Amino acid sequence: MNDKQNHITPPRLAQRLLLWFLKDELAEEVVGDLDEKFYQTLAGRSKGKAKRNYWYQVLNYLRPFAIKRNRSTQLNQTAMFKHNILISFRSFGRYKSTFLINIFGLATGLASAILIYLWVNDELNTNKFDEVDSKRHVQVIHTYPTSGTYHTEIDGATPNPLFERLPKDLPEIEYSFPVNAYPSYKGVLSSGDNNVRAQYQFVGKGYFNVFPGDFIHGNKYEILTEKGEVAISESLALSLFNSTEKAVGQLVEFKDDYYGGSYLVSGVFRPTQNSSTAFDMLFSYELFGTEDMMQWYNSGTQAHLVLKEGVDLDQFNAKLKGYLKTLAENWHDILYAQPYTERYLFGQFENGVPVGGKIIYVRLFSIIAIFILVIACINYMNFSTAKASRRIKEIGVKKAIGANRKTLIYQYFGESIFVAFLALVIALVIAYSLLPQFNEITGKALTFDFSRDLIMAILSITLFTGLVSGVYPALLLSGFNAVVALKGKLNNQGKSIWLRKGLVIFQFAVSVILIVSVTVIYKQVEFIQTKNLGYNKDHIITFTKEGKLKTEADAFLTALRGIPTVINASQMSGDLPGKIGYSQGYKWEGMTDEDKSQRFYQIRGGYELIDLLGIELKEGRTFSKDFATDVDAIILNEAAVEITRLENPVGQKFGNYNPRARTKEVIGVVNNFHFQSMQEKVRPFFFSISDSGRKFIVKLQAGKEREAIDEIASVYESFNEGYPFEFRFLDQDYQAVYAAEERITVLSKYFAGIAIAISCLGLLALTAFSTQRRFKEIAIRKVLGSTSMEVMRLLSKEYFVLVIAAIVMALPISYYLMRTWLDGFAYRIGLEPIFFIVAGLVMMVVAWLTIMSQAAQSSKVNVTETLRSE
Amino acid sequence: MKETRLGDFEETLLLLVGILEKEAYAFKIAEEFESQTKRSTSIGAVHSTLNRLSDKGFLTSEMGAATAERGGRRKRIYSITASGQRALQDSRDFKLSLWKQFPAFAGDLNFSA
Repeated sequence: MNDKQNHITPPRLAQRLLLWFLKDELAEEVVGDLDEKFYQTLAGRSKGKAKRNYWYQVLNYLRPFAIKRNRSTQLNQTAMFKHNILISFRSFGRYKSTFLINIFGLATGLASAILIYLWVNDELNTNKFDEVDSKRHVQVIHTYPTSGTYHTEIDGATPNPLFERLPKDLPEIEYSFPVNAYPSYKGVLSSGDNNVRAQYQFVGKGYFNVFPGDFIHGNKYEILTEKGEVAISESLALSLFNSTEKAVGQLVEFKDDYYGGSYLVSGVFRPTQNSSTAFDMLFSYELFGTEDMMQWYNSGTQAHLVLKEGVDLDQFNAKLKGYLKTLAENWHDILYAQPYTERYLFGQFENGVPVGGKIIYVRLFSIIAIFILVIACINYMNFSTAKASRRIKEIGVKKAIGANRKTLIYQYFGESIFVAFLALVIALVIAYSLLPQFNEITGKALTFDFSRDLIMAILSITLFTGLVSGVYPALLLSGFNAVVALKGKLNNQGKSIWLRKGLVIFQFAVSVILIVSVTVIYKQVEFIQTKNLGYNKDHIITFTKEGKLKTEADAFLTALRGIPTVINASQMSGDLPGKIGYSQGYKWEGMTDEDKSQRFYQIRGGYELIDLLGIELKEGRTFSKDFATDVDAIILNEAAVEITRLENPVGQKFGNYNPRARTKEVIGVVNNFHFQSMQEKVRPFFFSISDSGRKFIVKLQAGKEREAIDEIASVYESFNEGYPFEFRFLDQDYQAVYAAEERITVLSKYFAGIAIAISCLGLLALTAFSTQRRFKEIAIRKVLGSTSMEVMRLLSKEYFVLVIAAIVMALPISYYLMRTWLDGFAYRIGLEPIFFIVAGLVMMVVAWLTIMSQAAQSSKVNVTETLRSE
Repeated sequence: MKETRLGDFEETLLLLVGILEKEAYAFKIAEEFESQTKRSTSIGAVHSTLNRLSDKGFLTSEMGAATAERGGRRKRIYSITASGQRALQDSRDFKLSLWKQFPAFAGDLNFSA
């Protein structure tokens, strides 16, 4: 052997493989033999040949006599696995009904959890964008003092020049840009004979650094710099030009009160799915930000900021809070910079800082999902522990023939995880088939797109359920002493019974809390919907004043009033409820300095408006064409009277700090009515006369709505060709404001129902099981003369007591929770005792029926049969 | 009851063990087999058969000396047991008796026992 060959060794991988499978006691001789063979081959032939031969020799050692024995322990493990599955199936088979109840309980729980997860995930991802500067994007929220409290501009309106000014004074800001968007920004876009109504908004340069823009045509960073440009959505392009490609570079005609004209289409985009604001077209902010508009007394523009890297938001906010004071001495308004991602979920402000919002519902439903899952798990745990007394002998036998604790733990965890996954399959089928209905209730377009996150979430929920439901049997049962177990007596049975009872109490307490919550939420929503708003919202439609109607409003209204099914028709500014404008700078007798910034909401409308809305007059008179001076008259609401501290409001004069504005005279006072959401207190308000309102409002004859609308549509068309007639019912708008609450009510009703059903299923399974075990006792009692009634009482007592305990525990908790929830409403129902009594009674009756259905069956037990079998 | 009949490969290996004496370990036996029969085999196949023959009680083995080309590892030296020798003899006798009954060759055969 020469030196060179000494360096060459047998292939390492082959050797490792050999040692991995070869019996240890054979290793020495075999490796020795193969080495000899290798060096011998190497001496006579090539290196490659020697290596190849070594591999050949190694693979030829894959023979039964040479392979490690522990390979056969794995065979033993698969045998154990098969055995465990067999045992599981046998025990499922033995308690078929309880097993089915359990697996369906678990499946329903999982299906609910999956659906809720989809919803919560969708909510959490709203407004979470992935653009260059999205992470540093904040929006300035403006809060101003009013009537001794604070009012926050939820829409994000700030004084128009604010966004330009802020970066000049605050070095933390890298750049800023404006957005101007309101739901009322709607116009008609036309090309040729195609007319489409479109929602528009104005965006400034920098918008696409933080907001997504999926542009099919046009470069989003370069377009929208000119007043005459417009970017339109894919669907607009398709309905106007039948093609997204042809749209670019076209001139489109836009019909709108303020921004009508010809525009050049410079981009076509696809709408963003997870955005909370919807729009069909985008204008450059240049179009909106005229010199007139960019005054500090004009407001409505959102100020979006991108902060510099590493700026601490809390410190920045401390600085921003009193910023307006540095601009004007007596400007006490509060500014707050909120990360844009939080805008959607934390939209509720108190004293200028966010206190919550939709996040409450996200949390509420996450908790409900967890509760439902826990209840379903508890069922399974209870079932497993109850079964334990039957399977204790199995454990004894297994331990006696040498099973160690680990194998038993594996067995029980394996079994519970297996059941959980079985339930998951059923749950997926349920969730999948219910998704369309769920989408309808939630008003979302959720899908089962099996993203990695979703799969991971579902798998971990299932695994979690499996593990939690397996904890008790796996950890406790496996710990039993073999001898005790073989005797079949559990010396710590007391403990497990108490645990089981505790779990039942917990389950029913959760159910009671859910019943109370659902009742209260439902009652509150109903209260809001039927509460006397102070005006009559029924049989009233509204539609936008546009096109020719702006100049021919009077003639059009006269024509409408001529329709027999139309009771009254008028015009107004703003939208009811919610979008009502305000103004400030009024002077009145006896006012103080603080009152200077007092805001008054106002609706400017036709003479008939107060009458049409059915608002009650408290003092004075309503507007009348008989008085020429009424064009400068106002009618206050009670809140305005209160805030101005006017003793005799009628006849008072309201001046203005703006010298161009005319002095107004108060001619009447109306009762408070809810022109905003019921969550807001009624604020100071007045009516005035104007024919510049953007809305027509028409009251129809009840029961004749369809005829009336047909007639209105034909009148509309004769006046206003080229504009599609689109109207809304006022009560629909009203419901839209409470859509969130409404959905929550419906959803929580369903999920509470599911929780209660699962709890009862658990109770059913438990009573069924415990009565089955007591057949012999029942038989003996009957032989000795017990009546069926007595047997039923005996059987139901044990669990019924638990249900009562659960109710007693749950009521104070639910009281506390509901009081907190109701605090979010300015106008709310009281927490009446009847809610709690009903919830308790419902739970008791349901539980009692459940128990009885089982007890009744077992009390009919055949005495001789039962006693004979031994 | 263990199988005591010998297969062809088993018989050859048994004989080779006898021939190689002190050098009768798996590698050498496999080499010898290949050179004598001009048939190829693998050490694993040989080892497996030696193992089987040991189980049948025809062979016994013990660990022998280590050599340098084995990386200092010892080798297992096999030797034939009494029952192994008897099995070989039985096999030869059986075949002989068959040969003797074969008329075409019967007269020409001259085996020394």
